[in-house]
Amino acid sequence: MSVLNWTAIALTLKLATLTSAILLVLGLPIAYWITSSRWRWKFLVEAVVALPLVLPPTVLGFYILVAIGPNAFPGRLYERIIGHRLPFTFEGLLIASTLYSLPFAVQPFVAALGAVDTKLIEASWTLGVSRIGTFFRVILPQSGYGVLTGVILSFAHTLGEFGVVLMVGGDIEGITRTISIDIYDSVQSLDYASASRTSLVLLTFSFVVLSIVYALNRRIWAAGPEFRR
Amino acid sequence: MSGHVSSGLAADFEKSFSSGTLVRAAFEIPSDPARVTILFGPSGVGKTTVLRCLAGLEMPTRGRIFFNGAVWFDATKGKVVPPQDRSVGYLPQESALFPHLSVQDNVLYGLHDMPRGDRSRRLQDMLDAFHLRDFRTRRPQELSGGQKQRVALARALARSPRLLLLDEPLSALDVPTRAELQLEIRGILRRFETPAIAVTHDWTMALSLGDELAVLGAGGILQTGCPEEVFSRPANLEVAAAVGVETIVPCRLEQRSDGMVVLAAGRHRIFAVDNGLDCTEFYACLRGEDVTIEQGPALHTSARNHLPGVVREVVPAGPLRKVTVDIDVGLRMTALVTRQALEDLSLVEGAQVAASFKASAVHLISRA
Repeated sequence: MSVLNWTAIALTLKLATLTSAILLVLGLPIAYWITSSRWRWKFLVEAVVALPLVLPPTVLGFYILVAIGPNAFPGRLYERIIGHRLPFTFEGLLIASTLYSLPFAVQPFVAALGAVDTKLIEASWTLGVSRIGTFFRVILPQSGYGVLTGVILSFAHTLGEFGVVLMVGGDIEGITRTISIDIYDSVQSLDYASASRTSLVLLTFSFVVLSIVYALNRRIWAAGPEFRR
Repeated sequence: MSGHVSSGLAADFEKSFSSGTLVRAAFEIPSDPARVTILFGPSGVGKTTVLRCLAGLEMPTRGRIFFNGAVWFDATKGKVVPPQDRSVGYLPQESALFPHLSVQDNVLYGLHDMPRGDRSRRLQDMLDAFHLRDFRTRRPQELSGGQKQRVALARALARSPRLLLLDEPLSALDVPTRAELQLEIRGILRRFETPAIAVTHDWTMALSLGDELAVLGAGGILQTGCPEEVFSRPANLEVAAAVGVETIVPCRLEQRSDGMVVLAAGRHRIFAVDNGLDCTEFYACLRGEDVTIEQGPALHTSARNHLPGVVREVVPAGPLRKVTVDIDVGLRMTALVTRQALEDLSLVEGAQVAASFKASAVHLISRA
């Protein structure tokens, strides 16, 4: 009887951690732009960000595979700078995961940033603090839970992704074989015991993560009274 | 606006909203230290919009704003100075304190570019001046309405702004706190020598806080002047309505002699001081506090008008009572009387009385 595939678990955790870290850095400016911009075509950007929610992972994976492949400009550029190709590598997988989980980070960020009282933002501006300063000193502290929710959701979503991983990363042990691919492999080789154990790990982990998200949103650990407008 | 004054604020702009609302304002305010200009007008006329345009939080559609000779906004040149660079203190209707920061961190918030030693000295000064020393570690949620406004004012003034903009700063407070803070603000503005523009529709605040009053109407600034002057001598009917003149009677000139005029209002005569208006059709304006209610025979003289009538309505107006007297068909006068006077005169609806007022209290506006 096989034991848990720790290599796959470690790889998945690494992928999820890096993805949510990138999305924190990348998603916050996007979300801030969406909440503060008055550009009339803003809805197009919002739609693009939300696309991964509705597209089949295989479709998204296919386009990413083509884009990072040797026949497309981004792929060629990467190859020229770094020296190797992106498809079926961990970096390629990371790019795919980031795009795939984008709405799971950006949408909670937008909701949280958008809920910050405009009067506080304006008060900060009239007190001589720049837009960026106001973002870090007022907006971010006021939307901490929402931002944390986005990070946790993108982390959890990356843990369970399958279609995009298979399209872009394939199934290479130690490089691109994540938990969900490992479960698929186990089932294919009729090793139901292993599949069941790994699935249970994923199920438990997902449940814990989601519980944390909901608890955070209920502020069960909030210190002192919280008055929200 | 002919040009722009080198010292003070000169604004002439319009802001149109997609709803079709248009807000207009054109005025010049010299930046004397501690001078308080009241922007007065009924709700919905755009007072807050004017203030927000001055603060840089709203962009006018057309026009220009200059401060001390520098351009803050110029639509034709596409120049907009952001709020950060205008050095104004802005106090919105609700205090807008940062809920995640303590009182002292709120006060310190705008002092990021000050050396550390100066910052803590400034903080101590502000906490003392605003009686906030005991609350320094509290969060805004733990403060009363009056304390919140004090913190917001301390936060705005800590940066020594060149101009302070106050948007109905006391409207959210209860009456005793409002009266207390009104006096305090006056003293603080004098002490900090900061010129201020305060928006209000509360005439008691306008009178107690303002050095100058600008009445804003739908067409822009309607009249400016010393508050008492504007309140008792409105330039036209719109200003009279905006500043809440209770009695406005249409009348016709009958006689003009020795600096006095005799006016016909229905079958009654009103004596008034001649203000030299070259017309024959007037509105006679009277403030409620200038009208007294009397009982007994009406002694009508040229110095004092006594018009007999019937009490129609008595309603509370703050600490006073507003008594409406029907003099004639279409001629109704309003007096503000104390509760004591109400009891002494046993004023009830239907009582026969006389509305009495000095000829000098009548302010005439042309009907032309």
